Amino acid sequence: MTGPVIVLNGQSLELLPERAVFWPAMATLLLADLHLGKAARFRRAGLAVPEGDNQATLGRVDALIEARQPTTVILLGDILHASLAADPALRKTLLAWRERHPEVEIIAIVGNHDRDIRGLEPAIPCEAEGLVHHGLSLRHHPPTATADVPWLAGHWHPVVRLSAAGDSLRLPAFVEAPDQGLVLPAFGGLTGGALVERRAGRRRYVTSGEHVFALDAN
Amino acid sequence: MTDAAPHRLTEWFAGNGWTPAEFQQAAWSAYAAGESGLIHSATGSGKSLAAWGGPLLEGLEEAAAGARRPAGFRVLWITPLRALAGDTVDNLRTAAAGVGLDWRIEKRTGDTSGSARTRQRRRPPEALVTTPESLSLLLSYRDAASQFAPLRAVIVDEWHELIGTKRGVQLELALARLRVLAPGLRTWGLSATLGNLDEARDCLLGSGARAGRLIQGPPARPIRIRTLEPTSDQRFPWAGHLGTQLIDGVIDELEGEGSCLLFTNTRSQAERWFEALVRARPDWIEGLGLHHGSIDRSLRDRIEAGLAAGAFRCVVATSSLDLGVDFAPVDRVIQIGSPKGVARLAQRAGRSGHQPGRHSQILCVPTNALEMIEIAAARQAWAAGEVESRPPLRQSLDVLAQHLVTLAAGDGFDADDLYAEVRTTFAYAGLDEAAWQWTLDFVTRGGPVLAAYPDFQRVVAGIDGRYRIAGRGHASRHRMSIGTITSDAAIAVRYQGGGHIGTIEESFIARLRPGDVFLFAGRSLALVRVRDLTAYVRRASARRQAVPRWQGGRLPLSTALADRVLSLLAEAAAGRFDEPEMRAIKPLLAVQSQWSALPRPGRLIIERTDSREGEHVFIYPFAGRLAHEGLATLCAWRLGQLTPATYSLSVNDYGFELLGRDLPELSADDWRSLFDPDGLVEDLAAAMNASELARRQFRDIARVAGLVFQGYPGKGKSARQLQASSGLLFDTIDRYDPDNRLLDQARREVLDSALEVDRLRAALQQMASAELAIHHPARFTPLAFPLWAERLRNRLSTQSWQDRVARMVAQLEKAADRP
Repeated sequence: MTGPVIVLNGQSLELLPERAVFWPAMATLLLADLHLGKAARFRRAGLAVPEGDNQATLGRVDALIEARQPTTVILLGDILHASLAADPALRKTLLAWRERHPEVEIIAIVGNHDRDIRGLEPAIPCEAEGLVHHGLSLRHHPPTATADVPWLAGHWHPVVRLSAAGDSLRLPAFVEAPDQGLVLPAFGGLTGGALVERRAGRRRYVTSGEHVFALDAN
Repeated sequence: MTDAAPHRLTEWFAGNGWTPAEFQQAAWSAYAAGESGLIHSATGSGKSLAAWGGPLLEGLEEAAAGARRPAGFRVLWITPLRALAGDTVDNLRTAAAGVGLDWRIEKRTGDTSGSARTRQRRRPPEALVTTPESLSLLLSYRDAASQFAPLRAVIVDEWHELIGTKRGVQLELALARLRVLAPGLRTWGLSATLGNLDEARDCLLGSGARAGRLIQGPPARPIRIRTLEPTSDQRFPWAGHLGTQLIDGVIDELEGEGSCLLFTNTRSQAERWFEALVRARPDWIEGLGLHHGSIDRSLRDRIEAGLAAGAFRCVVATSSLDLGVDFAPVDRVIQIGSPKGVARLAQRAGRSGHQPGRHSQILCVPTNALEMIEIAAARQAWAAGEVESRPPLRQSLDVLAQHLVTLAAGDGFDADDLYAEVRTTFAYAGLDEAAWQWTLDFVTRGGPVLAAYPDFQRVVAGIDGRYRIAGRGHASRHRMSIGTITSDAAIAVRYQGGGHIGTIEESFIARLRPGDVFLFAGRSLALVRVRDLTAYVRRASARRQAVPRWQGGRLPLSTALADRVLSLLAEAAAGRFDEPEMRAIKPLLAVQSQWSALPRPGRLIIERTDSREGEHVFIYPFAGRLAHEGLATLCAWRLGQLTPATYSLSVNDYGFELLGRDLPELSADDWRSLFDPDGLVEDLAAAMNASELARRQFRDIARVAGLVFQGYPGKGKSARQLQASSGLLFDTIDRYDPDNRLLDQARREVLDSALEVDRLRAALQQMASAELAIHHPARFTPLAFPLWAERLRNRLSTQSWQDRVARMVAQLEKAADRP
């Protein structure tokens, strides 16, 4: 399946219905906000949330790798939800996942939840946000001021509420910022969302899981 | 009993110019005989003293005998509303002091300060006035067993408000615990009129208490129900909800001497009427008050005190004043719109004219023509003694799970003993072993499927086999969540400068953007921002305002009332117009019967009218709004199975509308097959997007069962890490633990309470056997018009989800989207 293509700094980026971005020129797959280990964090606090999301989320990454054959996978922060030290099972799961893809380069941008993700190095190399990669700044937090370098980020978990004719749906969304930037939807299964309203200068793209639809035509 | 004790109580009565009523004396001697029971009596008839006298006499007798006072609570007084606790304490103290008992009587609610709590634990007062939530909290501390061992009596005030709710179930469980901690405990309930008083008593007492009594107070004072009829030059609205058209008549009524309570059914209606009154009579502003459940406690207190002091000409109120706030009776009561239920009307009317020998009076102000019929119906139903029942809830596993954790945090529990104890309650009498084991697994292991819940901890079994809470952090998180059974996600409304104004449903605030102006607590407020469960606002002057639409605003017409409405219409069809309201709308009914027909029991009217919008079908089963929602969806879905199409649906208390293009012409037999009660639940589940409804219903269940942790302001990252929406949790559990019984409960609750499936089934059975009268009026009839005008339209589509998204995006392309 293919989605709409946006251009940042001369680079074409394809918005995938699976809530990810593919960068064909660099054979790179980009994902944000996996929030792995969230259910376990809940369970340790006594909230009975069943396991299954870690495997399901990584399984969806596997499927994308299989379909797109990227040479590089970049995770735009909040790969983890809580401390890795408190969740040895997740650490094992992540390392096993890494070993399943020896031919792929995997880079993690450190997000606000990834307090001890550097414990996964060297298997998964970690970079502070702001790393410029072939002309695009890889971030977790969208920049608060107008950025000089076009950027890709996550953190917002953007969703859009569509309502028309008595019908209403909440769908994950990509948000294209006016200053040459793109916010990705959260990839993890156990992630909520923040409503992103229509605003002049920015465009939103919602995904139904099978198609990406552009909103806010100029 | 010694002679001295009853003498002191009777003396105190006499000192106040009262004589103990027969039912009061009956309650006192039943209490002395060790019995439990339910006291049913009208507001203001001395119910509280009927219940309180027994423990007082017992205390006097023991004091006379020189008995040593045990340390611990003697009497618990449970009240459904925190707001009532203060007044109750005063009343109980007055009576205790009056008979010469030096008891300490204190309250314990969510508002009680930490130091008062500590003192109460160290030196328990003889009597404690508290709420179901605070009682549960008391049970979650380690010394619960010793504190409650000396308990003699629990008195549950306003039991009719608790029965049928999860708070009622929470209380049933707490009472079962207390009966074990304090054998011989007597339970007494106080209730206003209900259709199922015997059941209410059984539910309160459970099977653990001795066979209980039902003590009836004196018959209620007669009620005079009047209707404010529009004058002949006022065009009477066929439809409409919030109309203040009749304000002139209301103002005339208020011109008289004395105080008035003006009741509305919804808080938004209350806000509108308050504003309309202030605008119409700015000179009265000092004497006008607004009282509803979202308004801050201190403001409400001021209004209640003002009412008691006679400082108000008129207070606009919602059901927040239905409860027994013990202020002096007012001179008159006005009801805006249909009361929708007989019990509610009687309770509201009972607020007026407590002088002996005088009638209670209520003036009803219809907001559309058809409400006239409902008012007449309420008068007849009350005269005939037809009052609504409140069926108790059963087997709510979320409340049970919460209770298990509560006890685990306290003294801990033995599983077998607790299972037996829980089954003494009405709610869980039929709890089978599997459901019990599931709930126990839920709190100890997360669920029966161990692999799905690694690292879960909440309640653990010790080496002695007793179940206890896993740690202090778990206990304190649990205690914080105990109070959340009822609250909708409420967020505080505050001025930016700091003043607290009240609380409001999150769903309303979520629709607003910063800068939007809304009407709240009688003020125009502009939203500044929302942060930490607080909406910061500033005063605004803008004219255009949104009025919050609170949940619960759309009560369905009760069955008792709906049946009466139908028989009044049948009388009208036969040319009988006994009630003044029916005479007033005679011309309207004539139009209805000329263009179509008047409904009557055993005859179902179906009207089909074409318009530019499409083809409309109106059907009038008179089963109430909720059941009609289900019926409309069911019919549209079954029609869609014959010919795929998209229908707009509209419902009210009398009937429903289907609107579509190319609606096939249907014979009486075709209609009958659409009304077939067979396959109701399956078809409804398929049609209603039942999973979406259950997902919404799960919000409360998740909160009660402790699946979501409600954040609270000012707690840092660790609390934020535990935030997830209940919808997301529903999806996660549905995917990875599909047999989870809480999901079943959500689905069951949707059918029972959101769709009133029993009423729906009964309606279908009647419809299937009724004579069908199919009419083709050229225009919308008086019964059809309100349905057509109903602005909230549902849509039932057989199109796929992907298509819906595509269609919606296409529509949004045309018009700019809105949130």
